[in-house]
Amino acid sequence: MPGLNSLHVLVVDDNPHMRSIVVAILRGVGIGIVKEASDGADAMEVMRAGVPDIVIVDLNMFPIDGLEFTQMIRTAVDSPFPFVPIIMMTGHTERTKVMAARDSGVNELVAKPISAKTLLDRIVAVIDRPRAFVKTGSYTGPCRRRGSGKDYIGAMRRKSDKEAKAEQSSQPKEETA
Amino acid sequence: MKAEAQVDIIAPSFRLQRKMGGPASRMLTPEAYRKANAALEAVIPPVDVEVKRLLDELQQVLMARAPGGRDIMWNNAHEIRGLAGTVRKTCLGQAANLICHYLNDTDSDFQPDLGVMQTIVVVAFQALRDDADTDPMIQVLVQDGARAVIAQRHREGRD
Repeated sequence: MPGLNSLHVLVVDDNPHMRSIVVAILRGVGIGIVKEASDGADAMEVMRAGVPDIVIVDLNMFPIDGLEFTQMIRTAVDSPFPFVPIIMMTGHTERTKVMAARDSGVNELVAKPISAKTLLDRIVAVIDRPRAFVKTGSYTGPCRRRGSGKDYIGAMRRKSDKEAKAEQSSQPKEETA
Repeated sequence: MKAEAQVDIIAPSFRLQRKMGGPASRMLTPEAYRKANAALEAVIPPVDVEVKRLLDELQQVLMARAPGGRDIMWNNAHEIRGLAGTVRKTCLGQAANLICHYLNDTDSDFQPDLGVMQTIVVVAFQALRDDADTDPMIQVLVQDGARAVIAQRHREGRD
């Protein structure tokens, strides 16, 4: 069975210490190919040479930060693979930053400090629980409606939403005594 | 009638599971996690030089009082906090967290209080020492720094 050895992961972080830590975790667990890039531009070059299965990217980088890099992967016309799962690492866990990361199109977010467990849990999530991919005029990335959607209060714009609503309204209501 | 924006939804892809021959959760066993932790322990890099560089830059920006300096200080503090936690330098992480906390909710042109910032930066430099996490004096310094930050945020009307 091919297993973890068949995976190809790209780690993008401008901090060599953090990069070496992440690479050590990935190699330690037996991931076959682990490549490194020090910034977004470098990463795009690496990706053109061979598309990874998963990209792990830091949010805070210069000159292209993790958010711009993610948007480039998701929307650039010459993007090598817009659907690649992206896990973003960040030391900034404020709500605004988390929402910016989500809206840039990342699949998972992992807060620093990093541990083997937190990182590997995110890898399991992108492999075992992949989400539908959404393309609209303003957003391209994994579906942002997580969970059951029962608490979602935004606009219901999808065709499937309208079909579900129509189906619901066409069902006969139960009579109550 | 208003034209609706088109939404394309592509079904979830299980390409990686197929490539690996099964779910990752089955392959990432407790033993695999143990191996990853061991690899992490073996490679923990000496971060002192990098942290010192970040702290030096932070201190220079603090003294220069230049526009945009707050963002550099905030970013450096977050970098230090992330690195410190990952390599388990607890006191250093706590000191960096004090800077993050003091600068949180401020604009790019915010000029932090020199005294408070200097106090925390000194604590962070002290926390870089190898024995910092076992030295009770460093923990006292961190607690003093925390009190200074709470008081300053209160003085600035932010808490």
